[in-house]
Amino acid sequence: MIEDLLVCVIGLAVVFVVLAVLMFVIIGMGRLFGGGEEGAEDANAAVKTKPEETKQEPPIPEGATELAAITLAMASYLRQRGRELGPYITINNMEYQVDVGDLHSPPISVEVNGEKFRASLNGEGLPVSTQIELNLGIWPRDTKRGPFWRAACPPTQGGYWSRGGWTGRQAAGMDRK
Amino acid sequence: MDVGGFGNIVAGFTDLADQPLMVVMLVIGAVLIYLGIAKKFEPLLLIPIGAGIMLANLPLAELIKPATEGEVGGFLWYFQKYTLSNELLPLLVFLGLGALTDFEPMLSHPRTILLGAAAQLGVFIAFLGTLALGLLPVFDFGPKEAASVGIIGGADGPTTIYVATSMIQQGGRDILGAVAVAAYSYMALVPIIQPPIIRLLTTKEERMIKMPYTFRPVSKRALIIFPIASTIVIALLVPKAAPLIGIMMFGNLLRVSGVVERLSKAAQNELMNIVIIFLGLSVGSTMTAKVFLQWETIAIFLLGLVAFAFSTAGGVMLGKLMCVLSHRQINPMIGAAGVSAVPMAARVVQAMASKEDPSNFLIMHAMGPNVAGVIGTATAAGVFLALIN
Repeated sequence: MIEDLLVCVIGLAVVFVVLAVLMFVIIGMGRLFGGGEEGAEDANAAVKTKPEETKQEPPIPEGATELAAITLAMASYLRQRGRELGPYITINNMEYQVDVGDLHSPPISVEVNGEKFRASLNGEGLPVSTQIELNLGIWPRDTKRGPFWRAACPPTQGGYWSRGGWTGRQAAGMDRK
Repeated sequence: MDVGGFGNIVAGFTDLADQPLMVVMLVIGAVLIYLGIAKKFEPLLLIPIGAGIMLANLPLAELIKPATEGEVGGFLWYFQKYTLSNELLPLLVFLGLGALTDFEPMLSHPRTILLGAAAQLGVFIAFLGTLALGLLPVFDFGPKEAASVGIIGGADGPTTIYVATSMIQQGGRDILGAVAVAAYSYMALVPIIQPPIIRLLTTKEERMIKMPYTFRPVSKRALIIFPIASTIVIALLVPKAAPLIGIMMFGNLLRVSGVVERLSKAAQNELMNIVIIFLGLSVGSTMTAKVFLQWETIAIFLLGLVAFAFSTAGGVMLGKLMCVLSHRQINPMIGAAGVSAVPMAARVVQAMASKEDPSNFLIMHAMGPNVAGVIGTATAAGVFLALIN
């Protein structure tokens, strides 16, 4: 029985050791090869030296792109109402597993059934805020109202909308200088 | 007219009357087919297994009759001889699994890999439990049978079949049918078995811990090197696990290389489907009344449940430890996904997280331990094969 107990202890220890070694191998690979973007840059550099070997990525099915767009639209809509998109959406009775990254930081990662997409609005995230509806209802009657609609785009995103159009740091191009 | 010829016509009924337990096996086969079709419990496996049971238990046992000199054997006997008895089919399933598995969630968040190891606790607990039961005079369980039963806790059907087949070849008893059906049945019941255990071991506050998911892209180079590196590492540490890991990682290499899409798709679809048909029928055909209808089968099913429960508990307990060490950055529930029922276990964790807090998304975090669990179970299988002779 002691022998069998030993099999268990050694067995579990070996499983832990193997996965721990794998973990360090993965961490090491991450440091060596970096993330996908770095990897992509490296790959591009290699391609530049051998242009004849350039090979385009297989095209993503059009339907999948539309699904990603629908997912992003749904996530944005729900976020503006202070809610989050769940892990599944259903279209035409078909269930899709979706995952949407941070809507504010571009490029926004959208995943539909494991297919990954990166979306951005001219290099920016979506200017959505959950503050709008909250602001509309909390003004006391005697409060001197300012142009509360300016809060539609938080100043932290570099600008806001006024009657005159887009204003703020971003419109003036100040944050780039 | 040969009057004795009438005997041949009713021979089936005579055989059935002589062996009434065959009827029980026919009913068991029908129940598995029903569960697969009506309840959608692992239909890809339970329907072929159920059909295999029914075909093997037809009167006169013509389909599993061994070949003799001058006489052709039953076709199911050939299935068993040329595919099951040499571990070929489980390995081919692993090839397909490798081609289907996306290791990216694990590679982008490697710290959760160890949860896949902790979730193998049930494998070893069930191993000890089986040996303890073997001390009773009713049960004839030795270390080889204990290894076959214990590996059910990994929630990995092909690995279970692989270990059981290997143990039979090493002189163990034929409990392949029972362990295979137990493994696939419990895999189908993951959404029922796991939630109570998770709830028992975690507080509501722990279940509500949010883990923001930051998308960390993994370079293609890392994706390609991982299957090669992991095969070498595991083959060095546990050589007996090399067939399972090697073939799975080869399948994954086909997937991530991006240049052999045809082979990858073939491994994922055509090959996998063909193999599943052969595997299901072959495993089912080993379940004759004489082999299956024993007290030990009930014990195997109970021990399988124990294995599953402890595996879930092991993952959750390490998850709790990591939760404390990370200052509540890790939701302990993702440890339960360390059992290798992919992606069912990860979905269960997500469903529980959503139930506590609809804005909590853990599925991507749970997928890491989930695929690590596949490697963990294959490693545990290699350990058994190395240590038990």
